[in-house]
Amino acid sequence: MLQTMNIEALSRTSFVQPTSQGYTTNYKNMQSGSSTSMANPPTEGTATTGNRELDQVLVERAQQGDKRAFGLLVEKYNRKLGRLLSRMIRDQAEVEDVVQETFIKAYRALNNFRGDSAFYTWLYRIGINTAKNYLVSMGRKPQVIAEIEIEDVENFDGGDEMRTMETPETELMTKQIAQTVNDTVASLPDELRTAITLRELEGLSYEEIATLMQCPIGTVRSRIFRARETIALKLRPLLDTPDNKRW
Amino acid sequence: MKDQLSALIDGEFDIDSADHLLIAAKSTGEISQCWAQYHLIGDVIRGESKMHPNFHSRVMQALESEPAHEKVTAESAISPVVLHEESMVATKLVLKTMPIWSVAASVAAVMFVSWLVLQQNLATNSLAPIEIAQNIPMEYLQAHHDAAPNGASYYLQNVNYKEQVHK
Repeated sequence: MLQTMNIEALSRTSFVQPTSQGYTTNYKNMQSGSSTSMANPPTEGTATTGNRELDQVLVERAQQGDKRAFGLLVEKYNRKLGRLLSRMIRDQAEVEDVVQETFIKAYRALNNFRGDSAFYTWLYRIGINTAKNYLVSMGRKPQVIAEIEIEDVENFDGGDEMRTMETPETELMTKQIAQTVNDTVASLPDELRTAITLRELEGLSYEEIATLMQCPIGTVRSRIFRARETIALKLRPLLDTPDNKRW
Repeated sequence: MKDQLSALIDGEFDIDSADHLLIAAKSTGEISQCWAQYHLIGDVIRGESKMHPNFHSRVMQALESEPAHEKVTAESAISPVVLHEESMVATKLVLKTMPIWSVAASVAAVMFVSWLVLQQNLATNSLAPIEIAQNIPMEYLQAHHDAAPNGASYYLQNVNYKEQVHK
């Protein structure tokens, strides 16, 4: 469990830092320090993979012809999948092509998904196979593939991902977005910053956050929502350009 | 409603009561934007922000040419008209094994009919063989006994006996 002093340190942390390999978190560095380590650190997968029940509902709706339900899954998983495949493919444009192909393959095969595994595990497996086939078709040896086991995918932290070659446009846009999120999180009131960090970085449940922050669950829910809304408000001018309109 | 969506994304909202949220998230309105933005925020915080922000639209455009799935039913599961390659493989397998199943069904049918005939025969010949022997009339047995040779001499032949050879 996080101690109170750690929560305070966390709330003061500006945790999103632009780096040459994307964005790492100071909080992760904090975790590696002995004084701030957690006794039972939750897996990152809890936050990154979302809840399985919701995914299953969306899959079932897509299986019944609701293409937009699948669109919600694309929205949810495209960046996670892109990050995973960037461990195998260096060029960001190629990563995006393979991610797109992965989603199309997944959609075509959706009726074969019976929910025996989590949707993201199934999707990531298709992604890895698609990337492997792509590299072979390009005459390149997929050296990293052997190191990526599907069991590791759920909790991978991407620390050793390859340095990707981003297109200037994408690089600029993603840096602007990251900077905006970083600045806004840094400017949040302590209680909002702590709540959103514990949720998004640590993947803690509302109940766990409530225990840590010594407040009712309803308050946690409200704080996380307010934090998201504050950040989203700052992001909207960036995302609302004609090029970035959804659908 | 947006706070409910936020909780839903975190798995902290009853999924059975979330129909209105999912319907709104699939539309083009504010809730839909929130779905996208809340996930983006989480991904950026975790350092997963490299994809182009417009990437989702690109995928959805590519998916437009894909036929929508139909409701999965028992009939459609084995229909030869299957839209997706994995399903096509399954269908091919079914079609490929159909002759084998036909032969197996025929053998089973023959065995079943044979068994029925056998059962009928057993029913009509329900008397055991020993009972048949007991029902032989005594007159027949007496006549048989009388006509039969009553000594071993009938089977003996003189050593000089020769069968006549017709020339």
